[in-house]
Order: sequence, then structure tokens, then C-alpha cells
Amino acid sequence: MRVERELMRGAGPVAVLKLLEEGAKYGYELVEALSKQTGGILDMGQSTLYPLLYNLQSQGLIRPNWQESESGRKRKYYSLTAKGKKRLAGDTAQWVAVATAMQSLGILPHVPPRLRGGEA
Amino acid sequence: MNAPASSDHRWRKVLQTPVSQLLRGHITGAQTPLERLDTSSLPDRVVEAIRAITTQLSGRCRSKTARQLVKSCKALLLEGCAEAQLVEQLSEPVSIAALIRVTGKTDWVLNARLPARLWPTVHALVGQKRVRKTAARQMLSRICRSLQWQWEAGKTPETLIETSGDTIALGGLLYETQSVAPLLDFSLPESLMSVVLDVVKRTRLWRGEKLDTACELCAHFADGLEKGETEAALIKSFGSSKTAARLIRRARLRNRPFAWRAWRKTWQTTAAISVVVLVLWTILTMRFMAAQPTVKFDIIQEVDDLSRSIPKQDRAWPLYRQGLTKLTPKAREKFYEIRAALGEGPASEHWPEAKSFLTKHSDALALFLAATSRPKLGFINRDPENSLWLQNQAHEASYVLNSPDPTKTNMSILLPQMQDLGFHVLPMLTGAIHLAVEQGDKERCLHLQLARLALLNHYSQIGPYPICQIATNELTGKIAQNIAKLVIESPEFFDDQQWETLFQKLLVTQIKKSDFRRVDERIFIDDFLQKIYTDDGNGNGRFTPRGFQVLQNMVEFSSGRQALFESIFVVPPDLGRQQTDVTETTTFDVLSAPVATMIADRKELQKELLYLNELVWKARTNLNSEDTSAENAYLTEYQRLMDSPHLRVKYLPALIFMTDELPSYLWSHTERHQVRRDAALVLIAAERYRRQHGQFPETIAELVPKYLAKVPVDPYTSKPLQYSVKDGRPVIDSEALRHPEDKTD
Repeated sequence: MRVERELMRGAGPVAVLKLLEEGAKYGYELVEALSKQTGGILDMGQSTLYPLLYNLQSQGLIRPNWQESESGRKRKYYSLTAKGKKRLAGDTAQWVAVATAMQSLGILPHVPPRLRGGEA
Repeated sequence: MNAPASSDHRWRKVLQTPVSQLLRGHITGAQTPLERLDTSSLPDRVVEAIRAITTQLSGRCRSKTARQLVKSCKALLLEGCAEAQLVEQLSEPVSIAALIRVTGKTDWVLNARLPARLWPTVHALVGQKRVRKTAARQMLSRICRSLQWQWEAGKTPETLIETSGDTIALGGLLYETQSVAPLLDFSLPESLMSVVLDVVKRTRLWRGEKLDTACELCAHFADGLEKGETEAALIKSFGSSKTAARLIRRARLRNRPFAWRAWRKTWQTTAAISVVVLVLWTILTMRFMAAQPTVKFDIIQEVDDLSRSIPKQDRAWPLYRQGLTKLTPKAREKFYEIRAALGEGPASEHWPEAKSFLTKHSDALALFLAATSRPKLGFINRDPENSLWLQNQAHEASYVLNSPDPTKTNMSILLPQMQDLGFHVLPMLTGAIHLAVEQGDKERCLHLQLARLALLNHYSQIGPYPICQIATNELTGKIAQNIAKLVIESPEFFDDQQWETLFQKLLVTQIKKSDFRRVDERIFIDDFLQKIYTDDGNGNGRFTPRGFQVLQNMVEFSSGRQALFESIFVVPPDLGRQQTDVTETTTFDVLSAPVATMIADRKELQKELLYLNELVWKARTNLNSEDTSAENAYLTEYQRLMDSPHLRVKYLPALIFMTDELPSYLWSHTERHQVRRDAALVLIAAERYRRQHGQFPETIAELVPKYLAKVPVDPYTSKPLQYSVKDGRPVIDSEALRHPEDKTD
């Protein structure tokens, strides 16, 4: 299923922030995690992911850091800042409110379905 | 048979031998650059290695390379370098030659401590398309240094070659980022490296940003490959390079320092405003330049048409012109000397000369007298027959008076006929009157007096211009004063019939007030508007480029208006002094279209001009000099327009067209001349009364109706003209006659 661009624009940043809540991640890892954990619903090409990361960085929500991987190659890891954590909390509350509203309208079922291939 | 052929071959060989060899006594024939050099001290293998490189090159580059390599090799051998090492260093001739071509240098070949096997890889990285030699040299130096570090760190040349892959895209990335080491870490296939290069190139970011983006994307693809994804899958999942580059650029710019973003925003806003202004200016200028005035009527033509409608036998001008033509430039010079004497008569010391002049030019005087007997002036401006008269008057080549040139921007109308009638004809008639009085020739004197009054009638017909009537009034007043003097000083000079004739002639010589509401100045306002505005057919229109030319011509005679015109177009004061024509300045070129747009449209300007003109006329015809309200009303309105920057531009043509000074009292003299004329009439009537009754009447009323139709009213008091008899002589008193000029007279 393909999500509308406008909807993706709203969901993308909060999804990335949520993934980074668990710990620092690099680009490819985020792509993989998004794809797996959302069952491909929030799958985004790298041409969208990296600009999204740079935007979050410009807002001070995430912090990049070049680190050497196990293979000896350098990778750029992104981690959540305090401001990012605050934003994630705020955005999460808003999404819950939206989901509740959708449930009350009957658009969403009361028990959200389990997504294929990952955690909701 | 063979001898000549052998000789030719030898000569050819001599001719092909380089001069340097000939000087040494060697005949070598054509030589390669290497052969021309002294390579005797170099081992053959080294020479062959150098030859293999130089063979790949051509022209000056080949000679230069050969010379420098030979020199370097000699030096290295002298320093103890092994022959085998040199040969090994030069063992990739194709790549080395290609690198020499790209960089234009050879010193790196032996200085870089890299295995020769790496030269093809180095060449692939450095030898990008459309790369300048300076950039190639810098890149070569960076790559050599980087590879040398890695080689010295233990990496084998094979590993280094493998890491670099196909290297074409990597080379492009190196040039884009101006950085080598971080990118050499990623051993990516050419297809993936091409995607990275494409994105990085399109972002048009700073080098550091490009390097960071390139490294991150390389790391991303390397991770993908590590996870077992194929190149094709990775490229597909990456998405559009163009979109990625656009989004990355946008996001990266947001990460730049605030100062830079502020500067960019300012620059973008300025550029956007400039573009909008430029577009608007272009549209305005094109619209402005396309505007042409629609000249529908020609004042001069209308005046001429009116004159042409007069029967030829009734036109006085041809006779005046004939008489004036008889006054040659030389005669005119003499006339200037005795002109005052003609007016003063026998009282002047130059009177004998004046009499002589009158006698000498009696033919011209006769023509003037004949002209005064005709009822109409009938002057035609654009009459070719005027050319000789104009030539005499202007002392230069003849010209068309008040030419009908549609491009003419000069608003002034030349009236040379007015000058000649007033300056030449009238004084000659006056002089002739003095002469007739002196000679006691009463009939001729009366004839000349009547002719002088007839001339005034012609004078008023010069054109529908206020100045003509004003000047006529002035002359009428003076002539009436002259007659009054005669009746007081020499009452017996004329008999009763002659006084009666003179009285009747003076009576019909009217003093008229100029009234702009009829024709007069309104005709000038309409002419002014039609020459500076377009006409949309409904009486409206917009300002034209020619309008500015008209204004430029008008401001040249007034420093105040010139300053106003200059200030509108921001002409620097210094420049203004040097260059009087504002329309030739650069600021005028830039601002003329916007200013024209701000100028009031035709109807608005006409309304304001008529209003200002009405105020001017009220002030000009105000008799009471103590009451300045009319004058103040005009100046207040003029100043109101001047004080507001918006109104100053909007009504610029009106401010230049109208006077910026106090209204002249010249215009209010009409009433004074009226009193002079009425006084002369009363004095003649009183003299005639005296002849019949033996004494002067006690009041003017006694003259009515037999000698005078009604009692004249003094315009200064709005009461009957004050008359009394003092010392047996009639005396008329009026403020008009207390003017200094009258006292002198």
C-alpha cells in the first residue's frame, strides 16, 4: 500500500525520531528498520530519507556523528537530542489524539491491527 | 644516374639536421626530440623507457618532456639511483604520457614514490573530461600523496587498484569534493559511484557539504552491498538522483549558518524586487516611448487662414512690409539713433537728423500711410513673400516664420511684425506728426494722427494673443495722452471740424481687457496640452516623451523652473550647471517613464491649468494694489503644488507652464490707459464746448450729450471722472493720471 505524500510528510519525521529513540542509527539501518517495522508502509527511498535526516538535523532534533564500524569503514550515526526527545513526545501525543479521533469515527478499529513484518 | 639522387638525399639530410647538430659538425638528418639531446651518459634501457613515453606525445610537450626526463634521470643516476628502479618507474608509458598531457608537468613521474603499476589508476582518477591543468595538477598531487600513504601503510598496489574500482566516477567525485582519502575508503562499483557523483554534482553545495554527502551515500551503498543487496536493487531503492539532489540541497542549506541564510534571503529578495522593478520599468518605458502627441490644431495656421480670408485690397500688411523692406539694415541702424528724437519732436537735439531721416525715407512713410488706410492688417505668418522683410529684420538668411514643423517643441510664437509696427512704423508716424506741427500743416497733421490711430487698430489684429491687446492698450493710452497734450497746449491748432474728426477716431479706438475665458490664454493652454499629451478622443490622454522636450525648452529661461525640472530627475547640481539639457542625462533616461506615469492625465492637468490661469488673471487685473488677496490666492495654490512631492511631480507641466513669480502689474494698466483715452476725449469735447460757449464747462455733464455721449467713469473710483476748471483751463484728476510716467509726460 502506498501512503499519500502529504501523509508521509507528517509521519516520516516522527517515525525516524521514534526509531532513533532506541539508540543511534546510521542511514541504511534506518531504511531497513522503517521498512521492516512498518511492514513497508512507511518505506522511503534513500533520496527521501537523507534530506529528511538533514532537515531534522537543521532543527536540532538529531545529531550526526561519524564513527568507525566493525568493518573499519566510517559510518554516519544519528542520535536523538534532548530537543528531539521533546518533539517526539509531543508528536506522539498528537498522533495518539489523531488515532483516537479516527477510532471514534470508525476509520480505525479499536484494536490496531498488527502490521506485517514488524512492530507497530 | 645515381649521382644526382645521392646528392639530393645528402642535401635533404643536411637541411633536416637540427642547427645544434650542424654546429657540432654532425649531419644527422631529421631527429626526434630525444635524439637531439645528449643521452650518452644514460643507460640504453632508461633512454628506451623515456622514448616510449615521448613517442606518445607530440609538439612542444614532447620536446619538453624528453628534455626534462633526460635531465631528471641524469641527476638521479648521479645521486646513486639504480638503473632498474628508474626503468621500473617509467614502465607505464601510456598512462604516464596521458598524465603529462593532462597536467602539463613531468616532475611528478620520478618524484612520486609509487609503483608504476598504479599510474593507470592514477590516470583514470585524474584524467577527467574538461579539467583544467591547474586542477589536474592539484588532484594528481593529492592522489599520489594519498596512495603513497596507503602503500606505505601496508596496502598492496593490487588492493589499491581494486579499491579504486573503475575510478571514473570516483575521479569525478574527487574533483567535486577536492578530497581524496575519505572517498578512497569506499570500494564501490562504478554504477553506484556514478549515482553518488550524479547526486553530489547536482546539489551544487559547498565542497565540505559535498564531501559529507558523498561519504554518507557511499557508506549507505557499501552497507547495502554488505547486507547482500545487488547494485541494481540499491539504485532502484535510492530513487531519483535529481529529486534526492534537490531535497538534499534544500535540507543542507537549512543547516548553513544563520548569517549565510540571512544574506541569501536578502539577496534573493533584492533580486526578486529588482526583477519586478525591471519588468515594470520596461513595460512603463515601452508604453511611454510609444506615446505620441496628437496635434489637432495649429494656432498659426488658424491665424493665417483668417488673414487669407481678407480680400487682398483690404490687407494693410503688404504695404507695411513694402515700406519696411525699404528700411535697409543700414537705414535701421540709423533709425536706432534717431528713434527717440522722432518721439520727442523739435525738443530733441537730434530732431534735425530725425527730420532728415523722414525726408530721406518719405517713400517708406508714404507706404505706411497708405497701409493705415486699409481696414485689416492681414498678416500671414507662413507667407513666402515675407522672406525679404525677415531677412532685412534678422540680418540673416530668410526663414519660415513660426514653422509648422510637427516635431517642434518650442512653445514660443515669434511676432516680428509686432516689433516692426511698434518700433519702426509708429515712431515714424509720430515723427511725421511733429514735423507737420512744426510746418503748421494742419491737414497733414490730422491725416497722420488718424493714421496713427488706424495703426493701433492693425496692431490689435496681430493675433489672438493677450500681449497684442495689452500692447495696443498701452499705445492707445500714450497716443491719447499725446492728443490731450496737443489740445491743452495748442487748442487752436485744429479747427472745430478737425477736432471733431480726431475725437470720433479716438472714440472708436477701444481699450479692451484681455479675458482668458474667451480665447486669449486658453488657446495656449490647449496648444500646450495637445503638444505634450496623447489624445484618446475623449479629451483625455497620457504624457509623452515629446512633452519632456517641450518642458525642457520652457525651463531654459528660468533658473527656478530649471531647478525644479532638475530636481525631479535627480540631476546633481554640478551636472546641472554643466549640462543644461536635463533630457540628455542618464537619470532622465531611467526616470522619465516612471515620472511620466506619475504626471496627471490630460483632463486633470487641463483643469488645474485653467484654475491657476483664472487665479493669475484675477491677480493681474486687480486694480487695488493694497488688496493682495487675489495675488496670494494664486501664489498659495502654486506653492501648494510645489510643497507636496507627489503634487510637484503630478502637476510638473503646470508648474513649468505657469509663472512662479508675482503676477506682473503690467496687466492691470489697462484701466490707466482707459482713463488716459477718456481724459483726451473729455478735453477735446471741452475745447469744442469752449469754442461755442466762450468758456470751458464747469462739469463733464454739461458736455453730454452734444459733445460727449456719456460721462466717463473712473475705474479706480467707480465714480464719474473728476473734472474741474483751474486757472481757466480744464483739469482732469484720477489716480490713473498720477502715475510717474504720466507726470514725466
